[in-house]
Formats: sequence, C-alpha cells, structure tokens
Amino acid sequence: MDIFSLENVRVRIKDKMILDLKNRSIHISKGDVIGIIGENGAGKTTFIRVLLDLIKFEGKVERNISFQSIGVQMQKNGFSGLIKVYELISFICNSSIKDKQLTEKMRDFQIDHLLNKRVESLSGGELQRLTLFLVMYHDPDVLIFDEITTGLDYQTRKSVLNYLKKIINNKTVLMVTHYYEEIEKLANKLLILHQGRLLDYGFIDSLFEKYEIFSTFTLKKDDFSLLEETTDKGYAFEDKVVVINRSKKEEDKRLQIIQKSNCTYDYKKKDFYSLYKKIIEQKGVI
Amino acid sequence: MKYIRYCFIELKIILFRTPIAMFFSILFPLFMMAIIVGSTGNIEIGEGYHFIDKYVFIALGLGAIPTSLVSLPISIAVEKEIGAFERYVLFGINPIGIVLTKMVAHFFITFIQFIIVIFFGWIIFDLQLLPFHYFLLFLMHFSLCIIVLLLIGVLLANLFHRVQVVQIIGMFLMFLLLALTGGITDYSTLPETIKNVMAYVPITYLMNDFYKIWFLETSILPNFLSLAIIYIILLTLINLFVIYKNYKFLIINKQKEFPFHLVPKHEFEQRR
Repeated sequence: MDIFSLENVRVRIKDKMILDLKNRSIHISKGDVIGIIGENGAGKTTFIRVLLDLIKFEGKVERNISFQSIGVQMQKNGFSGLIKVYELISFICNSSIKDKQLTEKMRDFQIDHLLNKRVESLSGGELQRLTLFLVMYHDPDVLIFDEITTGLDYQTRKSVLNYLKKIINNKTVLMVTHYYEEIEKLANKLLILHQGRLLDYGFIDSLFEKYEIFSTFTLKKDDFSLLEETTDKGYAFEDKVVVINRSKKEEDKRLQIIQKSNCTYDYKKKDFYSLYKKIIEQKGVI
Repeated sequence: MKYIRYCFIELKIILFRTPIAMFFSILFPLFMMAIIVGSTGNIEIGEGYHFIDKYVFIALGLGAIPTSLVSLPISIAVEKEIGAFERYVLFGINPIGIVLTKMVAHFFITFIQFIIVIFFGWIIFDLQLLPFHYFLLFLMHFSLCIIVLLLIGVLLANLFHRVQVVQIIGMFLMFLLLALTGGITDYSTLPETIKNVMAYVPITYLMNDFYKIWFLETSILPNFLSLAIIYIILLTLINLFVIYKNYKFLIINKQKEFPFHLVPKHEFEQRR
C-alpha cells in the first residue's frame, strides 16, 4: 500500500494551470526519500500543498496516513512574533518546559538558550532549528521539507543538513530543494517538475540509466575544445562547460585526453544537475 | 491541556504585549463610562436608581463589541496571513481547537472588562449591585450575548483572509452596532423601523434590556434567550463548515493508517 498516490492531478488558479499531472500517476511508498526538484514556478510547493490537501485540485489523491504521522517544515514558518520560544514549545509539544526529555532534545537542537526570546527576534537559522525541533518532537513517520535551507548562510545550511542526515533514518521523506547537492546523498527517488509539468519520476539509479548519464567532467570553457572530437556538445555552467559521459567506456576515453593535456577538471559520478539538464533537453521544454 | 496553555499565552499576548488591544479591551469602556457619566452627572432616574445603573450596560457593550468584532477576528486573520495558523495546523493542532481557544481567551477578556467596569462603577459612581441569584442570571445572559458576538467575529476571520479587510469590516460592524443599539445615541430616539430590525440583534438587548435583570424587574429575557440560541447554533454550524472545508484532511484524525509497524526497518544507505 502506498502512503500517497496521485492520479491525474491538476491545480488551476484563476484559469492558470499551476500544476498539471494529467495522465500521470505518482506513488510514494514507505521508506522513499524523494527529492523534488525544478526551477522557480515549477510547481514544487503546489505539489506538497496538494499532498496535504491545502489547495484545491482536480484529480485523485489517496492518502493512507493520518496527518498526525506527518511532519512538515516549510521555507517560511510563520509564528506570531509576540510569542516567546518557551511558550511555543510548551504549546506545540504539550509539555512543561522543565520536562527532562524535552530539555535534552532542546539541547540537541541547540535551541535551549533561546527560550526567553520572542520569536520575532530569532534569526533565520534559529527559526529553522526551532521549527525542525518542533516538527521532529513527535517523531513523525513521514517528513516533508519545503526549501528549508533557502536563505540560510552556508554554516547554518550545513548544520541544518547535518540534522537532517541524523534524523531521516527509517523515515519517508519528501524534500523540495533548489540545491541539488543537498539531495544527492539523501534521496533514492527524484521527482522533476518544470513549469507545472511532471518531467519524470523514479528511482535515481534508473533515471541515470534511462537518460544515459554515467558521469560528468567539468572543464574550463577554453579546455572544452580538447573533447570536441569525442562529443558534440556540453552545457555551459557558470564559466565552465559540463560534459556528460554516457558510459564507462566514454568516460575512460575522455579521461585519457584530459590527463594528456594536463588541464584541470572536476569529476562527478552522478550529477543531479546534469540529469535535470538532460531531461529538460530531451523533453524539449527549454 | 495544550489548549489551556495556548489560552494563557493568548491572554498574556493581549494583556501585556499588545498595548492597543489592552487599551480597547480594558481601558476604553472604563474611560467612556468615566467621561459620559462624569460629564452628564450621575442623575437620579427614578426608584432610587441613577444614570450609572443604566449606562453601565452601554459601557459593557463598548468593551465587548470591539473585543469580539475587531480584536478577535484580527487576531485570527493575522495568524492566517503570516502563516502561523497553517503552521500550527501542520503541527497537528486542530484548527477548531485554535479558534475555540482564541474565543475563550477573548471571552475571558470581556469578563475582565465586566469585573473592572462593575467594580469602578460601584466604587466611583455608587453603582447598585444585585442579589447573587440575579447576578448569576445576568451573567448567563451576558455570556450568551458575548458568545454570539465572538462567533460573528470568528465568522469574519473565516470568510475574509486579509487582515485589512477583516479590520475594515469589523470596524464598520462595530460602529454600526454601536450607533444602532444605543452605544452612541439614545436608543429610544431611533426610528421605529430600525428598532424593529435591531430587535433581531442580540447585542441590542445587552445595551437596552439587560437592565431589567439588574433592576430586578425580571429574571430572564425570553426573546433574547431564544434569539441568542438560534444565533449560536447557526453561527457555530457555519463556522465549523468553513473551517472543515479549508482544513478537512488536517482535521480528520482517523485516516486509513499505513501499517508502518509491518514494514521492516532498514538503514538509510540500504534504500538506494
């Protein structure tokens, strides 16, 4: 039995199609860690809101789970600014702030020193840590994270991701993000959206196989000419060019050329951004 | 227990952290009572009663109407607009529980107003007090009236999602009710047609008929009671319907639950 299954789901706001999963079905099973990727306006948050029944939609969504078993953290977590942190914690956790178990968990999330502050005075990172603590307190089976690291500085982002790695064992996780490297080591499935359309959904390994991405080399633009013999195109990324290797054989051949020329390069085994680019290209939706 | 905690938090926020809410909820009716009775003079109105014995009900209305029709709906609408309401619901807090708790907190505020107005009326203007069982009956009538007003306030926040809209409509209703129930002008001077319409509005009875219980002329006001009960039932149903419609998945606790316990646990790395 799936935890969530969606069929022919469409979301329209004022005659504008925000999410169009017509003739598509999506099944989310226990233990899945799903990375939901796509550019701004791709429909990622709308997809989450459909799952949680927070937005009007057409189509069929089956949920074999009670809401109490789902922990949700959004990018913006609105709290009344006038409430104090200890008040919020005692209310949401329904426990005295002096409770020993609660105190220990607060220490784990490094929020124990914030208790007497008003929520309005917390920094972005502190607020995300506080929300993550509140989401995790009841140990939900399913976790939904919607761009929770957007807007955080590098250090805070890293610490939030470290928390995530620790806590997602044995959980079903849906993670919306703009930062592909965040889900590279976490996700086992990818759901790729583009302008409200589902481009693909499946296990990561099978997606890499399907779109023939074995590995990638990232070279300086000037050095790309070295590989022009072996490939007709690469794609530009910042001031560099990324070349996708479709097989081990192709990778070895190009590696030889690169090493001979002594130029610098980056190598990545399974690059999510390249997968995304290739899917976009193949589906002809650029 | 968590809703009791939330109720205390709400009370703290209204009374100690939101000066404007505190002013309109607690001080405004007191100021109005002091200004009007002080300037008019606490004249005798017959049978040993004075102006304060009638004006005290206007003062109670002046406190209850802004609290119920402006403060409560704004408090809900603000939380909706900043996403706090949805955030609480996403934490598994029942949205009906949140609204009810806010109603209870504002109900307490009107009772604090009630105690302060009666106490100062008694201390400063020699307001006459009534026997205990009449006092309880008065409290019952007063409570029903406040519940109707609070439910109207909740309805405003349920129907309109923007704080500014809720604020404008709430204030419009507030001034309209104050003007048409005798809060601003003498009710007896209003045209008959308006009085006939206002006979169907429970707050009119607070401002103009509740004195009959205070003056021991009657122990119950049957017209008011039946009207208030009809209002409470209708408004409760409409409010529940709107909340349910907006958050139906989140309200239903007992869904078909995935049998998590039957699935063997495995380490994260093994899943890929």
